[in-house]
Amino acid sequence: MNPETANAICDELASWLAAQSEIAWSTKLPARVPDLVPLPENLPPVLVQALGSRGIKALYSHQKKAYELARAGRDLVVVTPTASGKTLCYNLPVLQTLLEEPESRALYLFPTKALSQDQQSALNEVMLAGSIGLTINTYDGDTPADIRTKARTSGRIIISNPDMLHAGILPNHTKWVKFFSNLRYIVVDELHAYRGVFGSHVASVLRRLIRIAKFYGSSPIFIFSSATIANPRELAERYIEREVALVEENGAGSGEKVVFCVNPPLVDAVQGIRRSSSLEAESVMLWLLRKGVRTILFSRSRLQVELLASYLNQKLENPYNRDFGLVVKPYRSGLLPSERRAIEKGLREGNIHGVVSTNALELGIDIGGLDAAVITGYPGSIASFWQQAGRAGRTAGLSLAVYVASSAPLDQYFAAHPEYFLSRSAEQAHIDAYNPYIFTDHLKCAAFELPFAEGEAFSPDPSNVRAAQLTQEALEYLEEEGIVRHAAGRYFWSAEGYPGEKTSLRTATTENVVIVDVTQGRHDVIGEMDRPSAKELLFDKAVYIHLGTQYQVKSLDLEKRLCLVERSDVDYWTDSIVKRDIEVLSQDSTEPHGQLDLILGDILVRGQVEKYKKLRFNTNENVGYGEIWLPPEEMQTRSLMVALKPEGGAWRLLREIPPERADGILRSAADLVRQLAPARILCDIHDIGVASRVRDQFFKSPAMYFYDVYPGGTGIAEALHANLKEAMASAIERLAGCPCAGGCPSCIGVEIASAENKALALQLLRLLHGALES
Amino acid sequence: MPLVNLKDRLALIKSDRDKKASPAPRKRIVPEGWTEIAPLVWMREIDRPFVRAPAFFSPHLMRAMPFREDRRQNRGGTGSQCADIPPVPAERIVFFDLETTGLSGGSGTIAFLSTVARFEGSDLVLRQTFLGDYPGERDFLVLVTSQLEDADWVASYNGAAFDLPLLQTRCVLNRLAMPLVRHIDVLHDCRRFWRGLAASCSLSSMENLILKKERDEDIPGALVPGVWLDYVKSDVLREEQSALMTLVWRHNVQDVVSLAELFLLVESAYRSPESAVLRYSIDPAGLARRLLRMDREEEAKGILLMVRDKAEMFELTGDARTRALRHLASIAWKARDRELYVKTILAMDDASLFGCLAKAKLYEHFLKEELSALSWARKARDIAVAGGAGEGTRASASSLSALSLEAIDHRIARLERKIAKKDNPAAL
Ligand SMILES: [Zn+2]
Repeated sequence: MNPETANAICDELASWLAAQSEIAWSTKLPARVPDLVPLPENLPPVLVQALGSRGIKALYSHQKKAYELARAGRDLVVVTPTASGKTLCYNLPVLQTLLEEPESRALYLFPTKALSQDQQSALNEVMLAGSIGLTINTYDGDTPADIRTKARTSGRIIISNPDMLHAGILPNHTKWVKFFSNLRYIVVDELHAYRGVFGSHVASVLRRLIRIAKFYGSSPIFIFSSATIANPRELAERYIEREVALVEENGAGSGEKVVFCVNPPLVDAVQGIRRSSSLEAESVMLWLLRKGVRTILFSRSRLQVELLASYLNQKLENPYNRDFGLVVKPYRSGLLPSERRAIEKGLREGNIHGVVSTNALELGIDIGGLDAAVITGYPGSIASFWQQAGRAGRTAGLSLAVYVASSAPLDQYFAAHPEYFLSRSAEQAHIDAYNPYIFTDHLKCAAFELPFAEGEAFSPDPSNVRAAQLTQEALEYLEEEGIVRHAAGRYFWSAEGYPGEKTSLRTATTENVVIVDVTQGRHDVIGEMDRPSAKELLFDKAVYIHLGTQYQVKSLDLEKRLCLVERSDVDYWTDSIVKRDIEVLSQDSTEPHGQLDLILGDILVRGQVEKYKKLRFNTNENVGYGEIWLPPEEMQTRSLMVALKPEGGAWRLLREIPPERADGILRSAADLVRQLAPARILCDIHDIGVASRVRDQFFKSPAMYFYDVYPGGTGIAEALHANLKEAMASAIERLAGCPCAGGCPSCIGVEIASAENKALALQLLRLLHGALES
Repeated sequence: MPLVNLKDRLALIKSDRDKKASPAPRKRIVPEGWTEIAPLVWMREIDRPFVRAPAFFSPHLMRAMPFREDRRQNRGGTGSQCADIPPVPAERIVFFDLETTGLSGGSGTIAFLSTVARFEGSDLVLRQTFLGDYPGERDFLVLVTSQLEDADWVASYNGAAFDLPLLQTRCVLNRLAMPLVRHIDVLHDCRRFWRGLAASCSLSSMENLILKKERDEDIPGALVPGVWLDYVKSDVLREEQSALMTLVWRHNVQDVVSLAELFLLVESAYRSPESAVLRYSIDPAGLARRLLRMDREEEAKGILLMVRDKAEMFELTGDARTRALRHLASIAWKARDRELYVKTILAMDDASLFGCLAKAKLYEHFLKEELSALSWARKARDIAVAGGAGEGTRASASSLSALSLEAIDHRIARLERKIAKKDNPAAL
């Protein structure tokens, strides 16, 4: 877009938005001029030539700074927004070292496999252009055996991911003697992607990596890169437990950006019901597309992505008006790589005008050329928000981002607090590098790789006393379990098999279900899905939408991991209803608070999909139910339990109302606490499970459960234990301040909506909060 | 997997931590026959009289395997490359096998028992080294590697994929050098020779089928890791644990004895292929292929001709015979030996689909007798319709496609056209 058109469109958008909904806040981020500096003087001529052939004759200031720090042997973290040339920050010092020292090696770690292949093609360009001639190998699950052998002995740069490092490289490190003995650099790209469970695992994987490198006499320099987060240095330092230099100024130029936060209009002021954020986002996107603005729309669920793309295309289909020829594609996980590539190409070349995407596009896949981003609902973190907003406007000129707040309590909180997005200290990324479960899992792997010495700290910092103590305690525990053998001052792995087999670094541990289109004798694989999701989305007779085409499930075979679908044209989509059951396995600590007990312990969660709803397209009108026959999904995990004591105030309050209503109030109150917890502890709402029962079979009194949805727990229950009082306080604030008359989706929900229930829920929360204060 | 509350468990252990001192490795009574060589490392020697212990081997006739992943440092080569090496005295080759804590490898799997055997006079002398607990590993490895280093050649069963990489891993971890020796993996020859005969070419199935031996008392290999892990972790040994350990020691000895016997048999097959084929039910095509690799074409041909012309001397399955003749035909084809080719094809089994088709092809393209070709093609079709591919079809996908009914019909049609054209050239 040229600047004048862009400004005009921006003004027009502002008045259009103001007219049709509510602009909660808006802001204009000014354009930035690039800060260029000359190439370093002692750069090898081949490298200068290679850069020159790609049109690079100068560096951005931050690239130069990163280069100098790395060359000086400092560990560093580079924080730059997308499209600011971050790869050069690490490629330059690494390539120079590899050219100067013929035996030296480097390891590049990327969070996903797709990205590392992307990265390899980018690196290959540098290599080929300047005929630098360094061997680069991708080493992952798809690497053929003969290439693997070559990579181990002669690959100068190994590109891999944490999963492969964990399960493939480290347990077989003796095959990598040459690599580890000469390892000079470790590049960890997309640091912000490692958080929560995955991040906590990766911290231990890096610990193991450092430990093995040390065994072979090398101490590599770490270069991290990250999107904008509040605590990049602290996060990086948590991984390697030593000082990390920070490069956070951005010398790359960028265009102006205008951000709108839109609150969909109230359709029912009394009930506090707003227009759906999806519909709102859809109409914003339509408006933008019709103005010739190439737009990406982010939606959180796979199903929403498909639905939105098909609605949009239906609306753009009319061949008699100027919409003709506008094409929108869905882009989400579960697409085949070739389908993804085709969409990326279409966007680059301009025959696709808009995409509807899940977060899959967030992780640095270069599509470019978009003018506007529409974000449906809070994407889970401030870093993600800016990543998504940064998808538009990678070149100079004005770009737009429209954040459509959903009616979720957290979104409504953010709609009232723009400073949360705009102030410098955005959001603290968090990992628990010492989560006892994850720590112990990786301690086993580490013991398998190399025996532990007495007093050794399983930590990048050998003098970390806390780590040494935890290591010692965990080793003694493992010895009692017969997994390690303690003799002559060392702990030896002493079990059959490889411990890493049982540890997956990601939440999705099960293998995927393959989806096959069998319409009229076809047999085309059209996608795949993880098993727990398949149970909720691919049950028999479920409507499945793929690339805008509608299918109905013929059969789901979980054992064969195969789902057969057929094209269909029913006028509804399906939504499964999941029933969850809780069983208390242990109570490890109990903290009495007068009228309630706070208990930490293990629970068994059993999830069962039993029924599904048929919802008519566009109107979402419920047109019927169907049965689902699938085995339940079971999980053991950690939970924070709130058990009310008989005769306490909260107990009496619930006793005085009919049980069914009391159940609803207890459930709504618990859920509101959960909804607002991510403002206090750094996790996604979906990382916390919640359940409640007024007549709890185990406690024989009303109880709430807040549990970790990751099997075995990641410390979320413990973290919530420490923050429950604050989370309750914000729930009270939200509920008391909600303008609705008697409950709405932004507070206690609509299922129990009534002025009386809203008041009761508020009263209940105040009683609970009061008890916690004592 | 039961969830344990780790935090509490850790707290519990912490409270009585002071009581625990670093335990010394356990002292075990050295059993009869064993000697303690170093702390936690025992050795013993066993003599096994051998009926046919030779004075010399010709290991160079066999295929040497890379001993280490780093191929450049290997002293070994392929069989043909070191064909000029003279036969070596029998005592210069050792037979080697390890028992380990796991069958899948990785840096946490260790070897705790090694047997290295060599011929001394008419005896096979087995030196067994046993690791009593982890801290003795370095001494154990020093002993084992020095025994290997002492020889010129090492023979193993599946050592290329398992024992040697594992030994290398243990050496790297203990900062020891891996010995440089030439290596022969007998499993590779056994696969060539007897794959068609046995469902698996495991050492135990070779023992049963080829050596005709039965072990009276033995422990299954899969149980071995558990026995040792249990042994080292027990403060006091129960009688049954000692008995199981004794079985593991014996198991390892028996493995190595069988390895030596198989090696002798395989080696003799390379020395006198014809008699070996007759005596040991070796797949003639498999042995011939190996001989060809060593540029021993005449001998390869000799075996195959024997299969062709003296079938009554063999107890070969139709499948093995067909493969042998196919192999011979392909040798003849490459050598442009027309007579050998024709005679070999004509000797193929009339009842096999492959034989009929080969004859059809021979008559059509080589002898230009379309009528005979047609009759063989029709016979092939009958066989295919009656019962699928028949014998001799364990072949690549491309050659299988030639056996498909469609391809046969195509051939029949073409032959009929050719015949019609010949009968009535004017019809063109
Ligand atoms: Zn409300």
